[in-house]
Amino acid sequence: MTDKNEALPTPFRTAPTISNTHKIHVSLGHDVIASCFYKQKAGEDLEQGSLNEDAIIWQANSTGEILSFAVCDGASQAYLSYIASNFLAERLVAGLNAWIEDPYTAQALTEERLRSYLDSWVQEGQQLVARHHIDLDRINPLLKEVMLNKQRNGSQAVFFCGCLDFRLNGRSIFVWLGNVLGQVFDQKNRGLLNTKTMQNDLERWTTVRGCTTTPHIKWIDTCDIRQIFVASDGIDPGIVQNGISPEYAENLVKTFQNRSFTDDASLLYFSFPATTSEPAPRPYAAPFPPTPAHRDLTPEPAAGPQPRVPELPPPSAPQPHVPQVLPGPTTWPGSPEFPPAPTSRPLVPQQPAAAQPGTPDRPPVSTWQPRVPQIPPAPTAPAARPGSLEFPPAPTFPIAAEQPAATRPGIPDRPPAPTGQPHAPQLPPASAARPGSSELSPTPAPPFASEQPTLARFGRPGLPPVPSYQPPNPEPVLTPKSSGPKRTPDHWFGISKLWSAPNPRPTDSKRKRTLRPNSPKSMPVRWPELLRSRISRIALVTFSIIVVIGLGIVLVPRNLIPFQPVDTPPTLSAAPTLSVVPTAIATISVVPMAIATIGPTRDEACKPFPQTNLQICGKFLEYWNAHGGLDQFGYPISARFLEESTSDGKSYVVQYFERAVLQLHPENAGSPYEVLLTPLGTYWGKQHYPQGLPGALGR
Amino acid sequence: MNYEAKATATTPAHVIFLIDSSQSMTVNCYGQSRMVVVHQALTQVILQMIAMSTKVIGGQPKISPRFRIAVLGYNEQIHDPFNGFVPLDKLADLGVPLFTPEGNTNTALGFQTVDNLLQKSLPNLPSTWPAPLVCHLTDGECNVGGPPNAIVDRIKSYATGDGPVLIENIFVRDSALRTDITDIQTWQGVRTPQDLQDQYAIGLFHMSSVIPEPYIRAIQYAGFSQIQPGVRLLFPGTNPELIKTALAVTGSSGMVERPS
Repeated sequence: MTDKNEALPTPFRTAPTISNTHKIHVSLGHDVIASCFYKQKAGEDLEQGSLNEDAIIWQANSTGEILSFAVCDGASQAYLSYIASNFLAERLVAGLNAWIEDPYTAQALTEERLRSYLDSWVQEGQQLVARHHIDLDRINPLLKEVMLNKQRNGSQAVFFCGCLDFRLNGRSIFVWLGNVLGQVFDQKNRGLLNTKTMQNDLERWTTVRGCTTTPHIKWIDTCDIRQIFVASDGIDPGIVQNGISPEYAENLVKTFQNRSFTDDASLLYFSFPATTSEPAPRPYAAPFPPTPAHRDLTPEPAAGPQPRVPELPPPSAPQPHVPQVLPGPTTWPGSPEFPPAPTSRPLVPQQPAAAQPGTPDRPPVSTWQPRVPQIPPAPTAPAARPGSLEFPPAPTFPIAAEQPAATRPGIPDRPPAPTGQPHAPQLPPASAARPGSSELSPTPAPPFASEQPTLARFGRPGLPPVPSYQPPNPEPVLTPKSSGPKRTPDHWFGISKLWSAPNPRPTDSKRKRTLRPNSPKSMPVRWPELLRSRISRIALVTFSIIVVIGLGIVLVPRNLIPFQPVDTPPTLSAAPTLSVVPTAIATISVVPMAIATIGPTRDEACKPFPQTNLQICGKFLEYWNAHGGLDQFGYPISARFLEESTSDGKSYVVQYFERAVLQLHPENAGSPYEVLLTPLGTYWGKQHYPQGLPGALGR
Repeated sequence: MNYEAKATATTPAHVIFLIDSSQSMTVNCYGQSRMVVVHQALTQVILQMIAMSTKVIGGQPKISPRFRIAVLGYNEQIHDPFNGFVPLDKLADLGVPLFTPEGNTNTALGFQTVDNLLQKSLPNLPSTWPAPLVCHLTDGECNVGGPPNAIVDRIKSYATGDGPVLIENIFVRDSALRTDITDIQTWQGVRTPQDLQDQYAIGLFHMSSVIPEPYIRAIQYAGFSQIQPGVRLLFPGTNPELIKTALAVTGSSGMVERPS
């Protein structure tokens, strides 16, 4: 057996391999992940030459800070199940990379939403299946009936996938559906996740109906993770209680190889070497690249043998790109049976037939390509934002547009609260009713006079009757990763900051406690922020399209056309395919996505905030000034806009601040209640504690 | 001896369908003769086996011969259309046989034929192969040839390394149970003779093997979701769905892997 790893740089050299077993060291910045990868076709499949129905893929994002993996197991009784498994693996890995890279998208990734994402892939899955013509006329009636029935049920697969976020205080997500075993252990070999007890044979994704049940999601702090073990049921090891050693994983593989089996087997094992006895100060916080345009923009590789992994700079240097490593001769690409990737997203370069001589269902190892999507520079738009394969880059975000990232000064922190001058907000009269709060009757007066102002402003703690607040889009109650004592306004612009500012790497072991900008328990980010970044990209595309209006049609990279609604997942159409798109249609599709903002009137006083390039005007400014200002509310993070209240169904003018959302009630004009705080506590409490807040009435 | 060997192309599971084709099988059952119902159920289980064993290779579906199947019909004589065991892929070409019901019921003759078949095949079965399964389907008492119990006991004493030969009985008759089956999804199976009120059914109970634990999951997946360990491989009833599901149990022979 020749050493397939000769072409690999040192960090990627594999250990001496046994058949179909691969041990790979993937370098992610300053850390090394030891991984054991195993994929084996069923014994009888080896004899018959059928395709492996399992798929294992992992892929780092362009900065090397996020690593996604997927183990998919095609349902053996389903129709061409290797299509579903490989398709899912591709989409899940690329999708997770893109979703998790963007903290806003990550926060919005609920189980239900993920299910809708997965369901939205059905059509593409069907198209892949439809490309395979099977001549059913030349087979016996029994087999024909079986095949027709399988066709009706579609290609099916189960999966366990995850995305490890190695950014500072990043959280890792694990997603699974069906009976693929996934276990995660911490530094003391305690189980953080075990899907074994949650497996359901009826769970699967099909190209006919998407998910049969809702997929499961588990978030775990990346710094707590030491080992990840994933196995398809073809190599079911049972439940491992106290962690797994690399030797155990290898022995498992060897044991399995000696068995007669009918099911394909896959095993994926990651171990993260601990550097200290403390909860490791990993993952590292490497500086972010100074510019966003660092995605691999090299053109599609030419046909023919390619090195498996491109050369990497020394591990100590910033890692511009960690490509996916896909060892193993049994994986699927290049197989003549597997459909070629859609032209719109050739994540896996198609190998010409001449490059795969002799082997019917596997390409020569030397032809392996990294699966990193490659996007050539688009002539009509700036280079794609890392990790976002769907939207154009966001330099047109208002701030960035006015102040180029290279020269824009960082947004300063809020000035400290003046010492010795405790906040003394102007409070409404105690006897006045509080409009908009149905349960708080204006009379009788509260038992304690001092309680009244507090109630009027903040509502009654823990009591549910305050009409719950719903953001414009009922789904996306977003928990940003960023919060903490040092949170800056940049936080709200997430990606922009990630691009422009180096992320300092803490040096002490307390950084987990002291620097926690990505805590999910922090203040909610709502749609307006999310929309802003989207809208900015949309605006760029709109601009690009409008420039060429008059030509009738224009060639636009498909991945820059945001036909999808804002909350759809980033499609993985990273391909540089040019499409003929009627400009009018493209423009019309873009416009409705914007939300109208309400600018100041001529008479309104405004206070601009260059830190966020927004201003507070009129009644909101009066309220903001009177009730604590910057110290109490933070910077404005949105303009004024109309938002429908879920409590009464009416639309109100609102403005979002870092720590509050103000709501204008013109029906209370002239009273102290013309501007009200939205009942965020009630809303947020319901979201986080659907059974009731601790200590609240009725609990 | 644990019934965990898997049916593969190189270690196929041996399944014998022993079907009563006596005159009584002409009795109407849910609008069709019992024989037709049985034939439909048998076809279903063969389809299920094919589905479990088919993969697309080179653009063409191919049946992996994970099963070797014998289909025997008996009344006063034996009908063996395949002349013993036939690989699943070959059976798919030949089709599922439909017997013409006629004559008396000589159950002993049927099991004697099974005995002979196993005696001829078992010595050649490697110990790693799945234990053979005999699926006996009848609608009434034997009226010629005497009781088959001794022969059945002998058959059950045969074993491969995977375990003794399994006997499953599908008794196509209503009112055999003390409590009728209202829903096969909730039916918990026959655990003791006291669950039965028909004497011949009790005889079949003693002939039936206890469901091996590794088969439980597959049987539950087949439709008997409340079946628990300790229950006999005995399924009494004339409901076509019950017969179909009971026959589908044979598909769990050597196929204890989960359906993914």
